[in-house]
Amino acid sequence: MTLPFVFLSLYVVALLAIGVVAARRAGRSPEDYFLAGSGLGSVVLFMALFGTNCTPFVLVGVPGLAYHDGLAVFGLNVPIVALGIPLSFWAIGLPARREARRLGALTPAELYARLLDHRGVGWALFAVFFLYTLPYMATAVEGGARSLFFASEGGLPMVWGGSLILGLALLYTSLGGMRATAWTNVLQGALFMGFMVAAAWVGARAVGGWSAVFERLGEVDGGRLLARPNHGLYGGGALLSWSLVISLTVISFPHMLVRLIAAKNAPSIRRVALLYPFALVALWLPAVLLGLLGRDLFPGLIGRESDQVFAMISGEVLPPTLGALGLVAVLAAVMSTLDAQLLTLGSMLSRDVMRPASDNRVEVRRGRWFGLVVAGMVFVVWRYVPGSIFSSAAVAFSGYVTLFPLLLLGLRWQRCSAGGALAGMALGNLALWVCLGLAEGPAPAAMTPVLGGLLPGAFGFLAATLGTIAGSWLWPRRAVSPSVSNTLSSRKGGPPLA
Amino acid sequence: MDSAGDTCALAGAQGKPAVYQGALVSWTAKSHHGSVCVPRPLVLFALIASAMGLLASHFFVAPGPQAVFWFLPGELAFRLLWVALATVWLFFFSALVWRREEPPEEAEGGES
Repeated sequence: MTLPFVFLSLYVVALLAIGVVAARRAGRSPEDYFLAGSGLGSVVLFMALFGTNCTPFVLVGVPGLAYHDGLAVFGLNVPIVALGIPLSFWAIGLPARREARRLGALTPAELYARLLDHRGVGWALFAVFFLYTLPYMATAVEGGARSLFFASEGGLPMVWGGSLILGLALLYTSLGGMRATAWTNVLQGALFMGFMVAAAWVGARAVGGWSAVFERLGEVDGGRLLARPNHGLYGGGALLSWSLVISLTVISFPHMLVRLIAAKNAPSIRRVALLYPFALVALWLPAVLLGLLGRDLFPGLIGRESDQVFAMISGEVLPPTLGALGLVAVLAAVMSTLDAQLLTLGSMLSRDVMRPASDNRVEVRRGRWFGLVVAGMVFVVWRYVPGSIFSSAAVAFSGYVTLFPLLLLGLRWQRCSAGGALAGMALGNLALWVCLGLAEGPAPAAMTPVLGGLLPGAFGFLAATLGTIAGSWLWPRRAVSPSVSNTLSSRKGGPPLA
Repeated sequence: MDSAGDTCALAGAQGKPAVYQGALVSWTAKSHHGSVCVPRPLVLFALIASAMGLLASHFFVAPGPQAVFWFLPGELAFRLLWVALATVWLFFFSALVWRREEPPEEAEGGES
């Protein structure tokens, strides 16, 4: 029990040190605090995006799924996102960064409000982002708190573990803003990716290597664990719609989009996109292999018991020093996402909901206070709103996908209007929640096919697309009135909206 | 930049999108850089067709559990090969399409 907490203490000290250094480097402008001065170069941008993208679900949940479903888990997710995420960086990230600079926007909601010349679009976008991000953040806190609880053998109650995680992420985020979160993501990403690769390598060597493990697993159920089935999520409409959801949802995370907006230059985004597939394989392949190793070593786990595979391998198979790093790796994955979410939601509250502050320092201070408010809301959702980690995350993923048509068309279709944006968001979310209500079965609603074998997220996406296009035709872009233009562009750095 | 609708493959890969005045040129034509240029519609067709092929194989190909490469099961070997091909596709896409959208003044931007 001692060694993991020694590593944990070192990790906490490192995070706070980075936060302090980032705070000293930071200027006093909102752009510096919220976007690191729009200066994220390729390496930091890559680690910031990848660290933010990867949650404890990959480290803990994926081995648990692979324990039951085998190698198919890798094929279900990695290939399609390895192509989809880089393409979405091009389709949305590249023009979003360009337009954000042109319009002086610091948050995704602010960007689209300015692009479409309608504050209501910003408020609606903020509301949808908030609706899906808060429960998603609560799942991260839950995952981290559980890890601390088990690592301390029950000595650290869940409520204290979760509070510690939230408080620490809030502290270094408040100190250094986006710069602190990006720098800490470099450390965190290196930690959890390094751990996963080492664990899969060392773990298999302890039992005769991967060839022996595959040979033994090939004899289980006629090799079912080493092939892709054609039922459930792995075939037909469910496979198609899951592929759609998983590949389009990432760019629709506000905390991902804002990092692309903060890129130093356009080539940085392209370089990151070309690196992304390699990183996905480097993280997901060990996660799936650990699940298979767990199946080989600890057969007989039922249902969600398989989520313990990560902890079992860390504690019983890996050498003590490496195994002790497992706890830090999970917490790194938790915090690398949580810090970006805290900062992004705080910045949106500060710039999209409130009236613009007249002073740069006031705006930054307000961003810090709103980070605290968001952390408090996450705590409440985590403690008092029921819902399993898996179902909350799946609903959030499906919900974000309803924003994809607006995020794309708002930047790349000149006819896209505020009316279309609002209609798309309303219709997409209406269709999604109606379908979620129709879903029946033991699996989470967002993962249950409803009509024609398609998942609710696919219907949300289709309805949002139709709503955005139809709404833009029905309510075309209006000419900008001087009063609206002046109101919206009165925010610092914002040129006229016309 | 896109007015002529042509892509100079070699120059594009070096970050210098070709600019032509006038209509489409044959894909065997030579640019003033001396490199072979391909009509943009053909480039786009090749990219879209290959992407469709990749996607179709992702959805419809499901190898069995037998080891096909050393000890790698067919399913894993196929998905890894797929990601490798997707990465190659992305490289061509970035050279032929993506770079044309980047502001010229940022083409050789520095790092942090």
